[in-house]
Amino acid sequence: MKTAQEIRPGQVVMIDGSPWKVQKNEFNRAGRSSAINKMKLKNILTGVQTETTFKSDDKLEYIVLEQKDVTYSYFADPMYVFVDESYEQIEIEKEDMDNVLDYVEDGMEDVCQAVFYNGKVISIDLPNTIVREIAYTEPSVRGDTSGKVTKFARLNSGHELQVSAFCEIGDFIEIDTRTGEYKARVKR
Amino acid sequence: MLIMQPQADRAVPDHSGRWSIFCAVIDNVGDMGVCWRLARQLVAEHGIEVDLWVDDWASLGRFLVAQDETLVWTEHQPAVTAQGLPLQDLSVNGVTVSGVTVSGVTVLHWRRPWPVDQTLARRVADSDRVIEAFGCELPDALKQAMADCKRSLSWINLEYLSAEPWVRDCHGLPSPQSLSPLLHKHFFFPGFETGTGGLLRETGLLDQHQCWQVEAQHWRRQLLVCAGFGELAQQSFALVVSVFSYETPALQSWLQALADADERVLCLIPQGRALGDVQRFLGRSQVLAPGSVHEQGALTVAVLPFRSQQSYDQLLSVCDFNLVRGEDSFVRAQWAAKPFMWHIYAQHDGVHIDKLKAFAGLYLEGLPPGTRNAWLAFSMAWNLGEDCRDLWHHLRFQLSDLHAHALKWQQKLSDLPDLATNLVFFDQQSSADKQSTP
Repeated sequence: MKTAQEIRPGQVVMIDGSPWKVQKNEFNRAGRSSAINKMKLKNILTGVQTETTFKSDDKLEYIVLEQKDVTYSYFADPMYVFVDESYEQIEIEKEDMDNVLDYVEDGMEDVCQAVFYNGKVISIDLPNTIVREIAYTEPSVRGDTSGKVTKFARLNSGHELQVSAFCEIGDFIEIDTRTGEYKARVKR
Repeated sequence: MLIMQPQADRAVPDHSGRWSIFCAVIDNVGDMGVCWRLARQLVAEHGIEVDLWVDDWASLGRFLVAQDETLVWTEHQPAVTAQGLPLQDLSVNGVTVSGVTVSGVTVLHWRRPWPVDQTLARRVADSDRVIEAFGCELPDALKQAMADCKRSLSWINLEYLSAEPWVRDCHGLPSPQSLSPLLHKHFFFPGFETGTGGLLRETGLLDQHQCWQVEAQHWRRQLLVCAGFGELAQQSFALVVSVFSYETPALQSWLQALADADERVLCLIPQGRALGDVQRFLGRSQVLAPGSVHEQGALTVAVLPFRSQQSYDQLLSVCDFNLVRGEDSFVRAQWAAKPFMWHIYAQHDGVHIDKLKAFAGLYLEGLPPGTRNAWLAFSMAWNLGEDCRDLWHHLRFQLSDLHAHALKWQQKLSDLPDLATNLVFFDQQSSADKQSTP
C-alpha cells in the first residue's frame, strides 16, 4: 500500500479489483492539516478515464508491474517508439506518456523504464535525474552566482521551467523528474 | 428579535432519510459552528433527520448553551444531560442509542476510541449519508461497519472553504474506497463560484440582515442593552466595529490607531482568542471579563459574552466594520454585507497566504485601485502580524466604498445555491451517477 501522495504518475493502483494507471497526481493543501490529491486515472483493461480525489494520506493498493530498460527511438504519431536491449521495438500511445512528455526529445540517451501490464506497455518512467540542454532563455544576470535568483528557460522539447539566473542558452542542466524542478547546471 | 422563516416561494423538498455528520473539534469551535448550522438547515429546510457526532463533548455543551440559554449542559459525563432536554432512547432500525435532540438535530458523542460495541457503528451504517466534516478521519471500525452493511452508502468529505481555482476542479469528484464498491465517497468543496459547493445560507438570512440594517441604530441599541451595556446604548459613536480574530500583534497596533483617532469608536469584542491582545493593549493585569467596558483615548472597548449564532449575525449586521476569522464568521460577515477584514487560520508552511490572495482576487474584483489597495495592504499586514496604524487611516476613508462593494458581493454570492441545498441535490445526482465511477 502507498499513500495517495506517494503514488507517482505512471504507477498502477487497484480499485475495486481493476487496475487503474495514474496519469496525473496533483497535490493541493486544503485547510489546517488537510491535504488533497487529485488523480487522473485510466482503467488499463477498458481504457475508461476518470478523475478522483483522495486525502493525501489515504492508502491505495499499489501493484508492482514488470519493467524493462528501454531507450527512446522516434515518434510516429500517435505512437512513441522505444527499443530495449535486444533492439526490440516497444510502442506506447502519446496519452500514456503524459508524465514524461515534457522531457522527451530526439537524441535523448536516458535509460527509461517501460512498465508492462499483461504484456502491454502502459507507461514510461524516466530516471529521477536527467540532463537537458537549454534551448532558450533570457541573457544571464551579471553578478548573481548564488543560484537563488531564477528565470524561465525553455528546453528543446518546448517545456519551460525555472532555472538559476546565471544559466545561458546551450547550457546543460540537471532536472529532477519527480518534481520537475531544476537542480543544477552541469558540464557536458 | 425576528425569527428567520423560510421564504414562501421556496419549496421545501420532501426528503426522507437520516444523515450522519461527523465533526472533530481541533482548536476552535468554528468547525462545530459550521456543522451545527448545516445540521439545523438540513433539518429545518430539507426535512432530513440529522445525527451530529461531535468528539469534544465539553466544547459542544458550551457552544449549544450559547445557542439556547434554556439549556444547561453537564460536562464530563458519559451521558448527555440537559435541563428540559433529558436523554432520550433513540431507536432506528432496532438500534437504540442515547443522545439529545436540540433544534431537531440529534446530537451524539463521538467517542475516541470508537466503542467496540457495534451498536453505534450500526446506527451510522444505517444512515442514508455519512458526512465527514473538514476531512476528519472516521474510525477504522466505523468504516468497516459501513462497508459491512452491504448496501449502497453515500459518504461525503465536506472540505474547508477556499477560493483557490483548484477547488472547482476537485469539487464533486469521487474518491473510490477499497473497503467496498458500495461505499460511494465524494469530495465536496464549499466555494464562492459556480462549480463549487457554495456557502451556508439559511433561507431568509438576507431578509433578516436587511431588516436589521434598515433600523440599524435601533438594533444596535437593542444589542447593547441586551448585553448589559445600557449606558453605551445611549452614547454616540462615529464608528462601531466588531473583532473576532486570532491572536496577532496587528490587533494592538490597530487599537492604538483607533484610540489616537479624532472620532469616537466603539469596539465590540465577543469572548475569544483576541482578548489577550486587547488586555495587553489596555495594560490590564486581569483577564477582560464579559460585560466589562474599557476606554483609551477615542476608543471604547466592550467585551461581549460568547454569542449565539443568530446574535453574532446581528452583531455583524449592525457594525460598520467587522474583523472576522477562520471560516464560519468569515462567511457570515459576507452575508452581513458590511466592510470586513479576514484573519485567516495560519498554516505552518504559509500556504494560508495563497488562500488569502485567492479570496482577495475574487472579492476585490471591480473595486477602484485605491480602495482595492487599501484593503489588500491592511489585509496582508494584519495576517502577517505587522503594524496596521497607518494602513488603517487609508482603509478608514474607503469604508463607504467598501460597504457598497460588500452589498454587491452579497448579491453576487446569493445568486448561487446555498451549500445545504447543493449537498442535497449533489447527493441525489451522485446516487444516479454511482455506476459510472470506479
